Amino acid sequence: MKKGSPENLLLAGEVVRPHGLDGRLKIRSYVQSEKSFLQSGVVFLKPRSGGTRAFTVSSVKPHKNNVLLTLKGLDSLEEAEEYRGAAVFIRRDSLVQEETDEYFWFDLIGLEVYLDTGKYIGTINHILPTGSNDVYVVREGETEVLVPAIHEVVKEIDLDARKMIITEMEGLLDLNEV
Amino acid sequence: MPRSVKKGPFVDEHLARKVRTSLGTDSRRPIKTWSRRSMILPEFVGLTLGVHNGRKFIPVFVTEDMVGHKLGEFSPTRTFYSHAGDKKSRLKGGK
Repeated sequence: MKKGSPENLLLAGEVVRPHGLDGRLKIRSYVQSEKSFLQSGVVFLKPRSGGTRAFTVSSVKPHKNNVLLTLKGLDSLEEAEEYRGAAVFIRRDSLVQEETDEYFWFDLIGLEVYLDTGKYIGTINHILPTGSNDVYVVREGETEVLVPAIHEVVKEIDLDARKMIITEMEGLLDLNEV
Repeated sequence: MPRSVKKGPFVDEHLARKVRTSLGTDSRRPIKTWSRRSMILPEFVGLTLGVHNGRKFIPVFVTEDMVGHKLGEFSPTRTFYSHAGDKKSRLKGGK
C-alpha cells in the first residue's frame, strides 16, 4: 500500500476556516489527540472542488474545541482560504496500536462476523461505547445482533481476512427478539 | 444527597431473583432486565446483563469497577453517530 494511497488515509478532521493572516488553519478534529497530526508528519487536504494535496505539518496547537494547524507551503490568508471546508486526512500507518486486544474502529467497521460453527451473522455496522464493554452492532438485512466486545464472545479478529469469529453465548443472538 | 447507608443498596427484587437463579445454575445466558435503577452488587461481577435502553437490550459485561454504579449508566438511551477517527475498541474480560 502506498503511503498516500486512499486506502492508507484516515479522515481526521475538517477545515473550519483560516486562522490569522499567516496561513494557519482552524481544524475540527475527529481524532482523540492533536498529536496524531504531528505523528503523521504529512496531512492531505481535499477541498470540496476536488484534488488532494499533501502538506508537511509544522506545528499543531489546541485552540478551544478545535486545533490550529500550521502547514509548510501555506503562508498567506489567501492560500489558506482555498481550503475552507476541506477534509483533512492523515496516514493510517502513523497511528500506534498500543495493546494486542485493542482495535481501531475504522478497522472493525465493515468486518464480517461469523459464528464458530461457520454461520454468517452479518457485518459490523457501528460501535456503541457503553462505559463498560463496547458493543458491536452487527446487521444483516433487517436483523440486528448486538455483540459485546468481551473475550468470552469474540474469539478471533482477522483484520487481513476482514473477518470476526464469535462464539454463541447462550441467549445472545435472540436477546432482542420479541 | 447520597442514599442512606442504613438502607443498603437498592436492587429490584425481580432482578436479584434472576441473578440468584443464574448463579445457582452457573448459566452464562445474558439476564434481561428493564431495571436500570438497580445498583450493581459484587455478586453481579462476571455476569452479562441485557439492560434495556427503551428500545433494545444492550449486553453489558459486569466488571469489578462497575460495582456501586446503576445499571442504566451502561446502557445509553441515545445513539450519537460520529466519525470513527482514531477511536479504539478494547476487548474486555478474561481470556
